[in-house]
Amino acid sequence: MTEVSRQLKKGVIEILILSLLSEDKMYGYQLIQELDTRSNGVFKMKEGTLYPVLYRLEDSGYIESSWEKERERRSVPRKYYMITDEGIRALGNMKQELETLIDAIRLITG
Amino acid sequence: MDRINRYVDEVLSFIIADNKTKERIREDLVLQLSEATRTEDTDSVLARLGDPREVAREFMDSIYEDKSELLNELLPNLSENAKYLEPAYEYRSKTTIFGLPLVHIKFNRYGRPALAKGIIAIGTVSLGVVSIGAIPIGIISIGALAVGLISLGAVALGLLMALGSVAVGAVAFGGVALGLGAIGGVCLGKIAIGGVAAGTVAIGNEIDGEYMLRIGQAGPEAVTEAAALIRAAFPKLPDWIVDLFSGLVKYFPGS
Repeated sequence: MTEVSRQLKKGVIEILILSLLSEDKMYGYQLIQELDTRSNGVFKMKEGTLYPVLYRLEDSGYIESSWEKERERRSVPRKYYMITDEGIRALGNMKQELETLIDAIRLITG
Repeated sequence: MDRINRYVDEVLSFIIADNKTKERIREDLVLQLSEATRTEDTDSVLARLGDPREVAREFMDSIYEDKSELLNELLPNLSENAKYLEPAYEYRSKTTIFGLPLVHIKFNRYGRPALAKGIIAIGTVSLGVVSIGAIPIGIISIGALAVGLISLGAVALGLLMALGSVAVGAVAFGGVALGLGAIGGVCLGKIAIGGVAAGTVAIGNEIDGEYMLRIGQAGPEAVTEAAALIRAAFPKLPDWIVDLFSGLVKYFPGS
């Protein structure tokens, strides 16, 4: 992965996480898998990258977490992340800004 | 589960972050690894994550992506540390005289010297009209190493009067006394009165001088004899000074 690719991915990771969580609540491992599967392996997130982003989003009030014990027998409960109303509004703004950026880039690069 | 916990502990040992963040990471990593081991064996999961130092580095890179956040985290800690440099105790009276507080008391932590300046100054090093401390300097100084016009201390240097184990001054009282007038166990001065006395006038048990009086042989007339001796040596000396010194003779053993 080139440095440019890494920086570009970094720039959009918050939008991608908020987008996934706008569909449904998810736990950390699930988010990693979803990002990987849906992007056809382009967004292979490492734990060290994902969780600090989740912490930032949580501290900003865009997402919140809660513990859930599933019906099936499990030794540990799951920690689900879910988007907040503020997160939904932020996601809308981010998407708009991203579109503006992509349009501008296309105007330049053709 | 133990292996997962050990692995996470190792990752955390390489992460520099506040406790809250570390606790979050611990919680999420343990959950993440536990989740993964539902479908994979522990060895494969840990191998996929790789070297704990590398995992820690990824977290650090991501946590401190925005350096200003790092600074915000560090600055409160710095101010917390700075507290240890603040005085352990300080009192400065609101009343001032000639710009100096009437009373200034200051002591630092861990024996770091503290300078107190005031009309009445109390501190490791104190400067004032009345100074008290380890090293007091003032008109009246009381302390371990006292320097002043009138000084009282283990070692006392007094321009006018010094009183201490070792005393040096115009008039010095002490175990070892050096002065124009020296009174003590071992004394050296123009007028020396003590156990071992040396001077122009030497009054004591062991004596050496021009005008000498051995107290042990003087009997009850010692005070009168001492006064006569001092007058003979220093005829211009005011009577009150003569009386002051000769009067002290009666307090010495042997007289």
